[in-house]
Amino acid sequence: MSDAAYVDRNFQVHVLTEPCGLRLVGQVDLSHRAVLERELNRAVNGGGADLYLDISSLDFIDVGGMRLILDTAGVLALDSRKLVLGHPQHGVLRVLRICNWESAQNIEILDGRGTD
Amino acid sequence: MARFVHYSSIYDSDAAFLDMALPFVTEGLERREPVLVSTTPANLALIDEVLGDRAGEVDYAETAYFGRRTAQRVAAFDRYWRDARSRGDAPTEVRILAEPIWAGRSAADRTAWKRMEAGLNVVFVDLPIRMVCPYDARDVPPDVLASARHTHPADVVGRDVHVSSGFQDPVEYAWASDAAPLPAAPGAVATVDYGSELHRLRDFVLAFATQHGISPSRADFAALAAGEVASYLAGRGGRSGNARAWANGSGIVFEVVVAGAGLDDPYAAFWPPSARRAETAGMWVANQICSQLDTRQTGDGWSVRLRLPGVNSVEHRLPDAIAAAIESL
Repeated sequence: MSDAAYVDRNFQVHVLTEPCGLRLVGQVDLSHRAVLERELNRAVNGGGADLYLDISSLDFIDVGGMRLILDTAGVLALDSRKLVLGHPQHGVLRVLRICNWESAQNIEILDGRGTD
Repeated sequence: MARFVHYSSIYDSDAAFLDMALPFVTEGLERREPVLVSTTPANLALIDEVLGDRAGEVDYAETAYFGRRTAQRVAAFDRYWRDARSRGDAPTEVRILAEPIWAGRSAADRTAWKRMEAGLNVVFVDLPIRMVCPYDARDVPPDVLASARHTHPADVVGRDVHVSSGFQDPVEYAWASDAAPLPAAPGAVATVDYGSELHRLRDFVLAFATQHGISPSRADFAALAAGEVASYLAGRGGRSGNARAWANGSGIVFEVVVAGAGLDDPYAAFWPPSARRAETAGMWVANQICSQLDTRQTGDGWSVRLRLPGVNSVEHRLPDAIAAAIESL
């Protein structure tokens, strides 16, 4: 089940309740970084245990956006919670890999979709 | 906490090389420090021979393959340092003998490598790395030999350290290097006026790269690189951006120009993401992707030129499947 928390032509955020988290759709770059930051903060403070980010429909995220996700995982770690990245596309995984952030502590990556 | 030590060592014979290299290596081994020797095959063989049984204790890398471009060279050093730190018995200092390949490089290439040598003093300043960069006076062009004294605070001969009076402030060195004009663009170029809509820039790059036969995966990376550069400039006061693209014999070139942007760190594209500099991580990624990244001041803003291998680069079109298979095992 999900509710739209933010919608525009290039980027949408849906709130997930089971598991608790967000579904990110479209493209994230500088123009959506503030939105992403706000929604991640809301999700972190919304309680729950681990935070699940369904990014299977996230076609693009820039390095700054990925950094925000990493920083969110860092905040969750203070509370012994972890961040789960659900089904990243190849391009998104490559951003993680090239920065050597793939093995960042406190992030669990569920299998990619296998698309390019 | 030890800080970065960066010496050159100009030598003119095998004996002179060993007079410096052997004490450097053995002292590190005695202190149980990780020691990496990244030099020419000839010098690796020399060290191997004189170290005898102890040669197996030294990490080594054939230097031409330990970071092919300057950005990858810095990343390779950073990887070595992080790997050493992550081992159980974390060392107080890491030693690296780092002799780049200079012979056969183009003038632009030599400029880029000299600039990187200066930049190491900045991006590694807080890391406990002791690095000596040997320069073989028998092979190295005169301008490169002269630069060793500009980019290293001191020079080692044998065990003796001599302060380099010619050492230049690394940031000033980079700005001076970046003042030289880049080759002019050809008459016919593709252009986009993307304003602040970065997705339009990425689409432009993706389309241009694809039209020129670049594989989808590499075209995606090109778009990522251009977008990161534009994003960095936008975050530094940039008002609106445009870009142009052209192909030449050796590859494809994208130039992102952002009015109003102000750059204050000439080494922005060299800080590894592990340095936890969130603001420059995207520039670092762009630099890793490109075969060359140049920044220039233009009018009231800045331009960044990104060069990528074209479809006629056989090395990229026909990658070494055997090497890839071995690496993936």
